[in-house]
Amino acid sequence: MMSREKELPSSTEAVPADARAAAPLIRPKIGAAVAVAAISAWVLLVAVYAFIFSLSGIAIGRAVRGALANGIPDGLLALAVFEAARRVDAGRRGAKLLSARMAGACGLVGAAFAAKTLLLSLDVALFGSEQPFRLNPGVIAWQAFVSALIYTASASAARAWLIDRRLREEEARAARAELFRSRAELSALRAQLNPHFLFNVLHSVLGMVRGDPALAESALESLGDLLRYALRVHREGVDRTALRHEWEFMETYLRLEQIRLGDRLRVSRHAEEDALDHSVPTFSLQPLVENSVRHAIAPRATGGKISIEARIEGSALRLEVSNDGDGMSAAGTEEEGGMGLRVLRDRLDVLYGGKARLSAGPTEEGGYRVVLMLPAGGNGREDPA
Amino acid sequence: MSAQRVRALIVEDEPEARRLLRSFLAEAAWVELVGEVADGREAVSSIDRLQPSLVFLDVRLPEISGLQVLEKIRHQPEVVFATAYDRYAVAAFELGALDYLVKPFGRERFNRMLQRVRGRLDRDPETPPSPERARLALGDSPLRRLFARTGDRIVPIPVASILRVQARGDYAEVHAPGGPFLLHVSLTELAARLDPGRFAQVHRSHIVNLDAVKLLRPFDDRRLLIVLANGEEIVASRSASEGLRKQVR
Repeated sequence: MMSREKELPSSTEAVPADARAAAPLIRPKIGAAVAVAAISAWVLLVAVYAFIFSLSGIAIGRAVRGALANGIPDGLLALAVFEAARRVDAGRRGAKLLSARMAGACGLVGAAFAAKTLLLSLDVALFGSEQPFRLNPGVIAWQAFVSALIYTASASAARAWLIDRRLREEEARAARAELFRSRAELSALRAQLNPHFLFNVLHSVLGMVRGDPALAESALESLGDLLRYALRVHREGVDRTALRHEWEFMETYLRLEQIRLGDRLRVSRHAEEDALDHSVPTFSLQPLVENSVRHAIAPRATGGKISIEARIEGSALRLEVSNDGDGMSAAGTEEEGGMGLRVLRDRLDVLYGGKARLSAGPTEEGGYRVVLMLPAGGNGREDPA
Repeated sequence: MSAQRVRALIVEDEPEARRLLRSFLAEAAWVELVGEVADGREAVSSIDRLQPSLVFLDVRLPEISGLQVLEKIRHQPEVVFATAYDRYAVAAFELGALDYLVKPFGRERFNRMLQRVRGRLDRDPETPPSPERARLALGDSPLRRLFARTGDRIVPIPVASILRVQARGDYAEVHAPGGPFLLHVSLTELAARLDPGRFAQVHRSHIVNLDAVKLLRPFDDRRLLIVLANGEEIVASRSASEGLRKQVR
């Protein structure tokens, strides 16, 4: 548990507010269900007493009063046991709990017995009796035994209730931690812009500053757009957005790559209009295109062609990025590019729970193709924009 | 320095980066640009055919990488690497005393580097040419030789002759005959490239050549004092002392 918590990010954006508010429950509240069960048990106890008394020929009024005289102290005793469990037991364990329990048992059974005696003698005093009221050793033992029995029963019930509460609390906390962790993982998995790409773009822009200032200006604008999108997705913790935004991000990226690679990079792209409204994970399209650039275009002196297609199939979105690279592109995905695919696969798992599909492999023409099938909807934070 | 202009070749796949190098070199009257190539395979044939004295070499190239180019060429020019930042490569470049430029680089950095290289082009016959230094430094096996820059010269340091290395901020101060020499690498980076059977990092800021150790004796109840053959003394850290004791047994 501890080590898990250490892995959690320190950034506040990834932490759901309810997870932060979680504090250990020291004094659980007694719920309505428990209260109803306790009251019913008590009513039953009093009724049984009254029934037994009336069976032994005692007049009904007296039987009820006698039952109440026995039932009220024992009921209060049970209430005290629950209250003690709530206030005292919650923080104690082992020998401390046991000694507190023993002291409580003696005290409460004694008090209950005294109260019963008091109530019964009060009854005799108020309503009179054929026999004078007196303490019978057998009755004393019996009353104490009944109180002890009720004490034991209610203490067990209270303990079970407390443990159940604690378990449920633990479960809730574990679930929160899990949510929390997958959030953190998601933010770590949201791929970042490749720093080598950024440095190379900056270097290209340096080359244009004197040679082609107008191109340098538009390249810097594109770079600004690229960084703004990446920064927004990271800062706002956006997990999914409309394909339209991802598509634009990819176009900006391609503009910069085009400057770097010149006519070695040839791109054809097509997106159906309704596909552009479909929700996709953020940073899902550009990394696929970047993979292709890195493995099919950059390693070849003559460059190559990348095709990007988006269309709706049924209720799902089909994204395809393919290139005409040689066998090298497949081998190349083992390293950095493969890492990007793995990260994307992990994110798809979290966001779509196995309902999204990512397949990659060589094409018949000797190139390489990645197909991403995305169902509608999904988990994670959707871009409100 | 000969009166002839120095023949230089650019190996760079990105057109804008090529243009940048070309414009920088146009300002250096002593450099004659003899060619520009955009991929590794062409680089190998051009270097052997044009026999330039100076090559600006991108590390990531189409077809074959800049490092593979160095393994394939027969002609041995002075090489200046250009690379987007890579921590490992930069440390390796430093260990081979190779000149490199980290992208993005502008005119000022480029000219500073060019001045250094200019002084070095009349090579000391003792110093291996930079492709060979690059092979030594960029490989994975323990280094047998380091190279240190002193002014315009590059001094080979046989690793066996090193007595000890001390951390000096971002630099490593290598104590060897003719030294000390400063290398712009961290002690950790250097330690990773030294034979662990011969060199031991005995302290956060000290590496010693175990062959140069004269004796070890207790310094206090946990630490050892290392006395080197030249009389220098170093107190080993607690954990390193423990390791040394095990090694002695």
